[in-house]
Amino acid sequence: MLQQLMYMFPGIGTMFVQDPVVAISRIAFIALGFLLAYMGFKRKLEPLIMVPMGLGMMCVNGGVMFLEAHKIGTLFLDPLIEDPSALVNIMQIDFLQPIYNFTFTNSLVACMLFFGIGSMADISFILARPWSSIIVALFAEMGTFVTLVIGYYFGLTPGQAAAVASIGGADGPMVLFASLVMAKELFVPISIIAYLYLSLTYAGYPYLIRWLVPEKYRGQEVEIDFPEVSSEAKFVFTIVIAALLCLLLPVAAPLILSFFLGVAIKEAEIEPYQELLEKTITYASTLFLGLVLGVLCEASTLLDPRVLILLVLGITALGISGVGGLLGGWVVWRFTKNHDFNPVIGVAGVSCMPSTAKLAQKAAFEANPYALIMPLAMGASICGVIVSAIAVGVFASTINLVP
Amino acid sequence: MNIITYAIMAYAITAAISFMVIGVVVLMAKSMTKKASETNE
Repeated sequence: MLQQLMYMFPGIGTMFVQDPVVAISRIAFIALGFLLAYMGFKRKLEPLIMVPMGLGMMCVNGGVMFLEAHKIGTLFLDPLIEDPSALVNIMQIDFLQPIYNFTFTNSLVACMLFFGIGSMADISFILARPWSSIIVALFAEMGTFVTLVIGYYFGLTPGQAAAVASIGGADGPMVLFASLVMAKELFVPISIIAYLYLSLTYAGYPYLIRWLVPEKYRGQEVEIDFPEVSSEAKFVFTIVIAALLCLLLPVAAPLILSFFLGVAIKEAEIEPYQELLEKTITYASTLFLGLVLGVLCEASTLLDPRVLILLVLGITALGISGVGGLLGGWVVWRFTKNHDFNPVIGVAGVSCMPSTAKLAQKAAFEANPYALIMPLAMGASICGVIVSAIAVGVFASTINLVP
Repeated sequence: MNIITYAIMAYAITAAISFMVIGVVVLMAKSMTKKASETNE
């Protein structure tokens, strides 16, 4: 009778035959998924990612069933499958398997998101204060390099440490790309942790700003002077830089192409493509990214002792990058003529574009309703994306120098 | 190579390439703006 009930309601029944730790973790993940989706609904976390991710996490941990040959699994996807013939079979059963294999494991989804990020990036923002923007962005990359060292001493391989350290760049698609290139075996937990934390930057960075920048400086007004540069000039140096970066960092060439193609389409004002990138490709990729990341949060996949280390390293990377960015903001403030720079812009160097720029502007507005810093913050944020791409390219090309 | 030395080296390379990219942007923006204003005159 009990066995019949177990087979009638396998989502619950499987909990009685699984390892108790896995069964309890499933319940915990269902609760966590609910929390994430609800926080997304309340706009406390990024709804575009958290609603599909939270719901995916709940359903994959609830929808566990008995499969053939006394196996336990789901009908969502199996990220651990490698054998080609088994993969072909599973693609006909698990509905998200084709999305996972054709867009995640080859980092297509990361590149598609980069099309969208590129199409939102306006080079004019960089031109307002080019050197300040890049200095701030370099300081805001500090978390990546510090976490690389910490991760290595925590026992990760150099590639794994570099992949998890890339969370410090606060750029989701970049983390996906870095983990696929340097630590494929940790791709799932690193990506999930990265996106969880990136949403948390919304909640955590405002406190960091208040802690490190007194109100008087947060509300500082800045002079913004955009040099007059034609679309033709911006288009030409966009494609020249793309070619130059690909020459220097071929490993990151797919991401570089995707980002600068988005920028080039924007500058060339090819409206049908612009609309396609901004409205369709960006949102479709974000939806599937959130959904697949949620579905990958299956208790049996994530119960890896290394996940705890990754959790610690992820928050360390983002924390140090936030502090580094604000430190960069102070450095630029100190050396700018008449201190004509708002140190809060530093946090926008952490490249999570445009979220960190919005956070910086919000913090400035709270201190002074006339403090308009958004254009400079966007410049720092775009430079942050470029610096993150360069850092990941440098890691991917040279990490084998570390034994 | 020691991991700390590597991290410093990678940071330095990242900074050098980033400055080079911004240098190219600034130079091209200046030269193309100058050219455009000369054409207008």
